[in-house]
Amino acid sequence: MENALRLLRRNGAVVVLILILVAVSTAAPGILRWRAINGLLQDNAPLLILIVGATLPILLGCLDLSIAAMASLAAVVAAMLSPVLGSASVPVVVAGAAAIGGLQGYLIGRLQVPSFVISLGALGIFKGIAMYLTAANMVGITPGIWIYDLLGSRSFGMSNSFLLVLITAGLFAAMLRFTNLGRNIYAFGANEIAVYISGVRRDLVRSFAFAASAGCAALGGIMMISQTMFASATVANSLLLPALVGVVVGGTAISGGVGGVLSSLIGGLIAILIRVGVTISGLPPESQDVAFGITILIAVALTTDRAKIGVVK
Amino acid sequence: MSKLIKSQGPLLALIGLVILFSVFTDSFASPSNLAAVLEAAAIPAIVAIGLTFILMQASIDLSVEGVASLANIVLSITVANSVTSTDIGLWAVPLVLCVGLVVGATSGAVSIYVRMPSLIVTLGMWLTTVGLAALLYPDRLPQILETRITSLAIDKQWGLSWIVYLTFLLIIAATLVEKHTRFGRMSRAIGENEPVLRMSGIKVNHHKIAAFALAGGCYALAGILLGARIGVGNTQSGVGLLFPSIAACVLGGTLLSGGRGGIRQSMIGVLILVSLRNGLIQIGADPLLQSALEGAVIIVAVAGSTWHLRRKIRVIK
Amino acid sequence: MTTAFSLEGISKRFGEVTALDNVSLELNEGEVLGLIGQNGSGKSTIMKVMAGLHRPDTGIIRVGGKVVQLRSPLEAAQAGIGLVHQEQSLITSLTVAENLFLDKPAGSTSLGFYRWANLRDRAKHQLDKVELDIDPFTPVSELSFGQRQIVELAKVLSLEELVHGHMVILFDEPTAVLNPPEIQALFGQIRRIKHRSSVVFVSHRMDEILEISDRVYVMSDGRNVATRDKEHVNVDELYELMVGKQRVNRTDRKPREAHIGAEPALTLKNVTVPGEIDDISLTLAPGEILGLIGVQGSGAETILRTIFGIADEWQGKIEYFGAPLTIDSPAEAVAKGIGYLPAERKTEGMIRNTSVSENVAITYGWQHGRGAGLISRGKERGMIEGWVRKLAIKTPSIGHRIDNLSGGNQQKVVLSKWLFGKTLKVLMLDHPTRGLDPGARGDLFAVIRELADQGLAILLVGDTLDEVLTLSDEIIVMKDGRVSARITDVQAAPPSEEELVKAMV
Repeated sequence: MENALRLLRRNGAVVVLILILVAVSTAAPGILRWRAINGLLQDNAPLLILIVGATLPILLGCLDLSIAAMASLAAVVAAMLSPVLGSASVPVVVAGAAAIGGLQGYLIGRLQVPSFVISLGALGIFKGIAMYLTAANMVGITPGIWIYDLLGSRSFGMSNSFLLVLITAGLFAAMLRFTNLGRNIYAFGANEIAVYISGVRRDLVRSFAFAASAGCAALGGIMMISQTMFASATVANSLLLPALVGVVVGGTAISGGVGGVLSSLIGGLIAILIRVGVTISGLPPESQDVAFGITILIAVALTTDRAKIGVVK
Repeated sequence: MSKLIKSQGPLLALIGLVILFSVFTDSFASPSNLAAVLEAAAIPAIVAIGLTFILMQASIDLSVEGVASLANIVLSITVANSVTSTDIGLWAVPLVLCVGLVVGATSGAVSIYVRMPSLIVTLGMWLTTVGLAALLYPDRLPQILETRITSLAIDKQWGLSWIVYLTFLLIIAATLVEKHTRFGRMSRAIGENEPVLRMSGIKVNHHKIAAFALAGGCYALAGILLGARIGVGNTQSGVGLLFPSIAACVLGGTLLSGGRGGIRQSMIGVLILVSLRNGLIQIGADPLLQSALEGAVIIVAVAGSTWHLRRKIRVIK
Repeated sequence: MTTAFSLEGISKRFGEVTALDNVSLELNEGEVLGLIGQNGSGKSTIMKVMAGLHRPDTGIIRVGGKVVQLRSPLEAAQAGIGLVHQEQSLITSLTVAENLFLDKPAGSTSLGFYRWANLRDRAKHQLDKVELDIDPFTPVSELSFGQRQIVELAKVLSLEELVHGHMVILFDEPTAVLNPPEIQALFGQIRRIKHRSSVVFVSHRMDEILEISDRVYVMSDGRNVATRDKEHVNVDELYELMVGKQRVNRTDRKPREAHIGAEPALTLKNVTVPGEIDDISLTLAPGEILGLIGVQGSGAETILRTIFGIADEWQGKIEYFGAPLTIDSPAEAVAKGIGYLPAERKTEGMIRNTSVSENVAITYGWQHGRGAGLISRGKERGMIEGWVRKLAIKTPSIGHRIDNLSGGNQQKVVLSKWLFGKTLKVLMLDHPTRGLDPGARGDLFAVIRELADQGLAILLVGDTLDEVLTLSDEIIVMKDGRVSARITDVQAAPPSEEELVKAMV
């Protein structure tokens, strides 16, 4: 039983993904067609990139609640900058977002305020700024800019946005596996104090994780406008909860130290399939929130090492 | 003097704000505007009352908006309304409150018995209740035709609606519970030192579940009063309640780390936040920046109130 | 005289460590028994057994002649045994009255609401017993530490209305946070309650034990080595007894071959950490082992943590190879070549749920990498396996989880993290052999000696006398945050164990 549970913890996400895939494709065989899959991946590339980024703070045992708001803000700013900067608006916005994310990570340590408070505050700040910049209106993006067209189109029959998700996830996975920083991130999640006493610059590790999370969020926002050609102050706000669901369902423990970017990606695919499943099963689309809510509870219950929690708060 | 600032800082800040806005604007101190401040504070205050007990126990509850929206929808489709034929009259009120209590108690019980952080459990509950509200939403926007509900917001006595008076009553009741019942006293003690209480044989789990249930009831009441105010059932009605309520509690001195604060402090926090919003609009600040302001206030308030707890050897997650 | 309470043949083991070894104790009615012993001698464990916090592996507990089982503090309370905690167990946000009846809620509420008047009267009655003249509704946060200790006592004494017959009151180092007048007030209370209860009193301080006790009970290495009536106490004999079996086998102390450097690696000048250490000065040279020893709370650990950049505030001057050392975090200390093995292995030393190899490589793995932050697991593997062999770490593989190793092997893994780099110059060891079995201790001793011989400067806080006596070139004894004795050349003129204990307590 113990072993079965551990096995499930390690490979549960893949098993669940396959089961859901089988269930969904039996109900609607059309879903397995390349076109459908491709469309699904293209539509959900922003969500997936958010999931990839959000994994890093969670590996530390932190939580970044500001990602969706950052994605909206980045979409708005990128759209506003696009007439002036053209394609350069993308790197500028992503770099700016990463810097702001890094600042968030730094503030958590400097002010010693829990990450969810800092990022909750940041959520409000980003939302307010985005509202202010757009005056609560839609902002259109100048058509014909190379980079946005690229993100919205396909190569080798695959959505470029989704390819970018894969590249980013691959880079982060390699970073986690092969670099000193990656080693420190896992160790930080397992025991922050021991890592601190081992001489690791924990403020830098935390800043990096939050910078990555914010940078990916900005990229997600940019992917969204490359599809819709419009940005609004709340364009990505509904992505926060599905993104967290994806990370957690993938098996990255909310208590830190366990999981990875690729597992999160699988978790993200599960989240997407739940959405699809809800749609094709004829249930009202609103029930996907209920499904998400219950999935997150079960996933956390299965993946959290509860021996680590002394007093449940 | 410094002790006074430390213990009564939030109150002094509130007084300072009121004086500031009264001096710099003509409109802030007018009776009608002060009444508007109280009206705006009423529903966040009710939510903050529920949150206060949870925060004192060092837990957190993110399900506020979902539960309030769900309550609002359940109310709007069970009283006389423009869409469904159901009409159970005022029985809808205890029904809705029960829904809140059950949802809250479920969050508490799952967190304790499955041993999961309340942050995650209530995040899941937030989603679940938002979804339930959407599922229960009928085809068209249900107008609430039950006048005994809507009059709560419309009828005014001495310039204030029944919502404000009801909130006052609830504040008094909650203060009594906080100060004079075993539940209230133990809630703060749980946040301060849970292991000692467990060793002394205190039923900590029961107090925790009770706090979540009570809070669920408060959010449901907020949902009912929102229904009274907007006159319809709306799946988005609770949106925007969570952040200001948590910010208000923290601003008033009910720390997220537990063991501190209380109803009085949280209510001062609500008044600070509402006055700040109102005053800034009077001064001419852009209302679109409102959430940015609140976000900054949350960070500054938490950082400020826990500044003295800073240690190098400290886990901050 | 009647025996009120007795322990017969109590033993208790924690993993590999025997905390109590066949201990017996008799407590007469109306007597104060002073319990004395070094750190780790088992006196805290014996108190916890008596208070129902630990269950003994073997042995019998009798109260008033009857055999009893004490499965929880609540059961101990029902048998008339109360523990006055060392770490205060009062809830500071509640009032004195609420704290007094925290574990005895019966009758204090009706329908969930407190009956304040009733609570006040009952609390007043309890406070009168200990002659504490405060309003029962004062929040505990407004009391001094001395007053809190008296409230703790009143809380325990309120037992007497619930149990019939004699009571046993246990004091676990109650004086640690008190000032002299407060200690005298507490002693007054202890003398006053003697007519209806027996008292066991634990303290680190010899003078207090001698002042308050009728009999002195000495523990060493988990055993009772002597019991002396007050009239027949010989203080020197007590010190000697406390040292006990730990007396160092003189042949153990091999002459060090190391060449101790002339220029100091580390110099502390008048270092003060408010409330912990006061005006500490010392020097440490490359190749030297400086041993610090003192009872719990003496401040020895604080010195190490201050040097390592963990202290939140401190004054004074630290020099490192002649230059002022200004660091604010372990990362900076490590960058300069200072390492620290913390005493709390589980919370501060090892990275749980992680493999042996990651634990070793966390600090210096990058020094063996390919550059640009890339690590080389292949190269690391060979080196880590080398250390595993050298330190004789028993692990199935270096990919094994550290959690599954025994305490001694975990400690060796944590130590090898510091030996893994190329830049370490000063190594600070905080109770490196705590909780280890004798074999593992011997292994570590040899490693530490060898490291010093290779030129590392080592600052050691010892768990026991034999540790510092066996290893050190110089010994500093700490007491209440100050240096109470210095033995500058241990090799030439080794001090006696009694001398050290005298300076410690």
